[in-house]
Amino acid sequence: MNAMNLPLMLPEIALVVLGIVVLLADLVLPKEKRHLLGWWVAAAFSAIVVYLFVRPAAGEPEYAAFGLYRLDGFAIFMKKVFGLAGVLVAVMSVDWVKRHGRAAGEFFTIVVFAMTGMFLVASVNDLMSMFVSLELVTLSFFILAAFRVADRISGEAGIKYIIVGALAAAFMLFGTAFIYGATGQIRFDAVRGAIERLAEPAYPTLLFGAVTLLVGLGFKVASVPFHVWVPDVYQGAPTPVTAFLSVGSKAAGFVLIVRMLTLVFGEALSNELTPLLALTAALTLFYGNLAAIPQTNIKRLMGYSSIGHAGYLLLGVVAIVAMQRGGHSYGSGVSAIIFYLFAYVFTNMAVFLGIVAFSATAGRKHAIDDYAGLGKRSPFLALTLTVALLSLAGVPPLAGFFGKFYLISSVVEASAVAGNGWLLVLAAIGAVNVVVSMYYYLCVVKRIYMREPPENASPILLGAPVRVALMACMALVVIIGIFQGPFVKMATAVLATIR
Amino acid sequence: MLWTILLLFGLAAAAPLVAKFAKGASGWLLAAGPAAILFAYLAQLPILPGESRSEVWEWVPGLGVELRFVLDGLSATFTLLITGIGALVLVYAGGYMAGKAKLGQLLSYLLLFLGSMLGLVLSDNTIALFVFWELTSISSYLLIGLDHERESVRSAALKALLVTGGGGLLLLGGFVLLGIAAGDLGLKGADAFSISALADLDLSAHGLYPAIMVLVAIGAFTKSAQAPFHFWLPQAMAAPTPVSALLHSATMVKAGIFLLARLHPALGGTDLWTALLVPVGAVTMLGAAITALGQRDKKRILAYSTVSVLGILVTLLGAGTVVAIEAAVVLLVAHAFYKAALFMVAGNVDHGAGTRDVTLLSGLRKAMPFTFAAGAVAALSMAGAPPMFGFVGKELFYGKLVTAEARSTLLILVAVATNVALVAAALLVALRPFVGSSAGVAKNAHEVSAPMLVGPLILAAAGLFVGLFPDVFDATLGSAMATAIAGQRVDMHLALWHGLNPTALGVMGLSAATLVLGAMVYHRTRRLLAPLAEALSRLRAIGPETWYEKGLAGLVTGSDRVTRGIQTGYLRHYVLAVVVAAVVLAAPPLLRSLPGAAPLFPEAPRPHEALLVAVAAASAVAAMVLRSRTAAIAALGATGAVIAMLFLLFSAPDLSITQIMVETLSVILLVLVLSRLPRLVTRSSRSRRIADLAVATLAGGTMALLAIAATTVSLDPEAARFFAAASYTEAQGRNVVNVVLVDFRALDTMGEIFVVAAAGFGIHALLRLAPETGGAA
Amino acid sequence: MEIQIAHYLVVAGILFAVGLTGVVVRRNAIVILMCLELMLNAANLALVAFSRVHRDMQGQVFVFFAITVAAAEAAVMLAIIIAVYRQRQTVNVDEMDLMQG
Repeated sequence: MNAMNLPLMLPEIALVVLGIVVLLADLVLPKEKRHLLGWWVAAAFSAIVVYLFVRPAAGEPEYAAFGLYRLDGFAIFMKKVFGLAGVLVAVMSVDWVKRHGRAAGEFFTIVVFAMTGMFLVASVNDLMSMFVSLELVTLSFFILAAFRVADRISGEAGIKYIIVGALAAAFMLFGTAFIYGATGQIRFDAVRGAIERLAEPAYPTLLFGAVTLLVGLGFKVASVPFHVWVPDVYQGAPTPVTAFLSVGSKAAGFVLIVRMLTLVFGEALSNELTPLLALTAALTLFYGNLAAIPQTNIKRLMGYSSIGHAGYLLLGVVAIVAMQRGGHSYGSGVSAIIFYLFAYVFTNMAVFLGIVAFSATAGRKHAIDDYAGLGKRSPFLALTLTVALLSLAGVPPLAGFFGKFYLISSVVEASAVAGNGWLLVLAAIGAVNVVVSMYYYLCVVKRIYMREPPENASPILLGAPVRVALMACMALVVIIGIFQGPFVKMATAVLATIR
Repeated sequence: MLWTILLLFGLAAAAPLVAKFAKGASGWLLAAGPAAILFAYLAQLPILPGESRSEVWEWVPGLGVELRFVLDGLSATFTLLITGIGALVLVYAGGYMAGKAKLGQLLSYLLLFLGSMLGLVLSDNTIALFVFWELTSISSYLLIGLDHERESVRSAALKALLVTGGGGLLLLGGFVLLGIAAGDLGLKGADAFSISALADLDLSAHGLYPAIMVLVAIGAFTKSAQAPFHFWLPQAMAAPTPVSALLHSATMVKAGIFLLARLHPALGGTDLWTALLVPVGAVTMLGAAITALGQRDKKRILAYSTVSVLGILVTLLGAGTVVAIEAAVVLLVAHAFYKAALFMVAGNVDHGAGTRDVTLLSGLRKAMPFTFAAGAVAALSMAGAPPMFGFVGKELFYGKLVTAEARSTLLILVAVATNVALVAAALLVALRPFVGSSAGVAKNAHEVSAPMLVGPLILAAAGLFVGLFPDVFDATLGSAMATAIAGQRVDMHLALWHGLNPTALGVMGLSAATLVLGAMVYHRTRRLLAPLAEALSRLRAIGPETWYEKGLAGLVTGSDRVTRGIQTGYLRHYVLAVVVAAVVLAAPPLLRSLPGAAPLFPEAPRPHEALLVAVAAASAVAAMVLRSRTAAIAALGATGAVIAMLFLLFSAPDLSITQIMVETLSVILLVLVLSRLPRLVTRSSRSRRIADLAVATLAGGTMALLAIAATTVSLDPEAARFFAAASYTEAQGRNVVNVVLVDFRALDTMGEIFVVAAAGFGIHALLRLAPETGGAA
Repeated sequence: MEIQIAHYLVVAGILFAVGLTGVVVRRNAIVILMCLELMLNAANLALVAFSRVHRDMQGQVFVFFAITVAAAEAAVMLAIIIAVYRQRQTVNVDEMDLMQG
């Protein structure tokens, strides 16, 4: 554990190099070609993902940077997810940057920085590194969200995001300080060790720190009531950034929540955290799904939908904490979260790819009504959007359905294991919200297929890369749903390395 | 068996292309698929009672979901009905939609629906069954919504999906609980979700049984349109093409019946089962049968009569005795034949005469002789007249009621009334349009094309054939089906004539009375129609359909209101929400662990400490409240300086220096920026500011108190000593010096550099991209 | 001598609360930024105090990083505020309500 062990950090080092290369290339390339940097970034991200797939699978966790950096199956898995999302974001950004951006070099550099932050988040093993790498992610997103400052909405999104975000960071730091205060340690395993030997009087300090830290993380994953920034920022940020955000911030937050619960807190806080998290999950589910119903802007709708999905993922978190009580195996919660995140990334990315491609032809108003008759204007785009939306709604046999099924089952199992009847109520709330969410997703589908396109509507043109990306996402959404064997095995293998 | 389902899905994907190239012949071409499957399953006959053939494919390892298919009497009957009727429907659709642009779409959805339905009836795994169940809901949504130009069609489609899809989710809940219960009773892994394995368990004793039963029943009721969930069906059938309507009546709504039949061995035979099913079924059958008479649209009449028959089936399954199950088996098959035929007849009449209003139609017998023939035969079966299969079914139904141990006069009356209404309805749809004066719409009517006649004629003939030779059915399939439902061996001996014994005479008396009364009611329908329709429209206002609509509207407006209330767009509200929630979340667990807290200040603060504390607090408050820009910045600077001094007190000089540098820098930066920005004006009203301040102070104060409490509880001298001791051992002796530690922090330093770099590039880009306007820096 | 840190934690708590109140009450984006700085300072103070209690340097090192991150965050926030000001001629967050519902 006490070594630098640089080779382990190869992906991060590659990202550092990539960032520098993009910056230098920005200086050298002529202005009208700078948006092509997006392809470089996409290619480099793909290469890193390929490397992660071919590198020997992690058995026991490995450590680098003197124990601050932990590489286990979960970290590798999350890096794959982040990397693939990054590839898709880069693909959809190229066109966008070409149309809107003057600062192409800065844009892609910050995308690479954000990706570096996410990679670090997946591997942190220490409270301090956690704070720094998470701030790297969030800070990059602050900038990206405000990137089209010439647009009133983007600037407003930036301000709202950064103020609420900085507030959350303050909570996180304050919470971290108290965890440190209770234990005197900052490395995850050392904190865990100290917690296990914790003297009774220090318990409130630890608890206060944990709750405050979770408040900060709740902001990243968009759980109610720390979701307030989400709708405005989703609507106001440039669409590729919204796509990146919807996956990056959420997944990074959940990685850290899972890490904190499994590596750090363990059983110690289970009793206190279970009701808190269960309440948060229920509120998040209801609010995200109900508030999505009256929306008229598709990006805002996706914002609320993303809150709803945070609620589902929180179900898995609740299952973990509840089952930790009495030292039960909490595996089903973790593997459900892993499976869900994997499915969610591609589904969500498919929707945003569709939104970017659609708005390129049909304008940037992003009104849901604009999607009327898309089935006639572009049957392919209509089909991919529909499949993705149905998967988000949890329609079987698509990936999203099984994701929700696993999460809800994990809560049901937790209820049985922990003997907590309230968790059954939570599972029922999860099921009820599937119906609610079906309503608003179907309203979009209804417009796509059951309305006539506006007069003189032109066909939607799709570039080849976007087409390929959409097709890949759709294929995955269907395949993850129907041929689950390999994906469930993957989630189980990841789970085995997490403890 | 998997291949048959996949074949249908494959054909569904290919259908649009086929329709593009084969045009008019595409119905015939695609019908070959289900027809081939029909023959493949026919080749498996006869299926003996108790026999079942299964096939297993792994699907979702670890969760107990596998594709386990079972072919027994029950699933074989459904399979044959689905594929047989499906093939005829495809041919019919090819004719009905000939030359229309949506033909490919329609055929594709039909095949998707058939595949899902086939998967549903063959599945032995509850979760897989649920997946197919929801797929039928989706494909029926697509089918209903095919004619989406009209708003009524769109809302009917959504209604059908929300009701059946929602019911499906409750069903899933029931299945999950069922899996838990089965797990408790010793079934492990995939077996806990296998329906055939469940039958051997004594589930009714399990604590979860009532919950399971209610959830499963609601799932079945929504799908099979039982009261009070029936309202989606008539609309879903009235709005779209007769093709999809027919498919719904003959197959889709039977899914709920199928589910109850399938689960009867595992869940049935209890008081709860009977108490749930019989009343619901009885209310549905009578209510729907009477409602049917109040309709003018042929398709609506048929739709309500379908609901009524489904009610009869639910009642019979609820009773659960052998005779009841035999009656259910026969009625189910008979109904599939005649109802499909009648829907096709309705479509033909619509196509040939241009209307489906029974009050306008008359005298079509000459113009549409084949349609009339098919309709008449099917209607006889519906009315339960000999020698049709429907007659056999009704005899059994009455037989069951008359011979029941606890004979219920009320139930017999309900049953007779229902059947009387059904007889009248049958005459209304199959006789009224064809007899009488041929002066009106009949003048321009014409017989329809061959593809549209094949279906009704074959189906009507099939009903007649099975009615004449019922023993063929019970030998090949019927007994096996009844056995599968009853969970015990049943040997059916169906016959048209039961000899002369008191029971048979009683039943025959009831049958005859039903027919006569039905004919009388039919004769007087014109006069009955008006008040009935009026009464019904009044009932509708308080019925479940109104609840659904009000609920949906309330959901939309309610969520709109809530969202506007919470997501106001004002940052201040957002921040307030975060702060209050954080405090609320942090408080309760902490307060619970507070008793036994140490005194807040074990020792009085030393004077210089007290001074610094006071200065820090005062300058912080000043920075927050001061109106003057420079003064606020100065106050912030003062706070920073005090903190730097506190760092010094903690013997962290380098930290102190960093703090002073950063603080100075930010003061300079702020002064620079502020000088370019407008004065700090407050536009909000005084009272609102005071209210905000009150809430914020309360929240902030609570947060501070919580923080202080958390530490005073823990950091009494005892605990501090403990920590000091622990940190020595944990960190292997005295701590390494600062510099070394920083060296170990290479990773964080890298992250830090990135943070600063991102900030730098970001600021550069933002300022470059922002439009230059007057007064800006 | 036992180290007395209760007082410093009280200061940290008060600073955090004051900052929090300011973030809620004030409308000017710049002042909100200043209040956020107060909150981060409070956290830093708590870290140093705890570091003292544990006689452990890690807490102090943490503060170095925290100060830098906070500075970077403040700088980006200023940049966004300026950019928005150029666009809309206001730094009053109450006037930023284009998106709601």
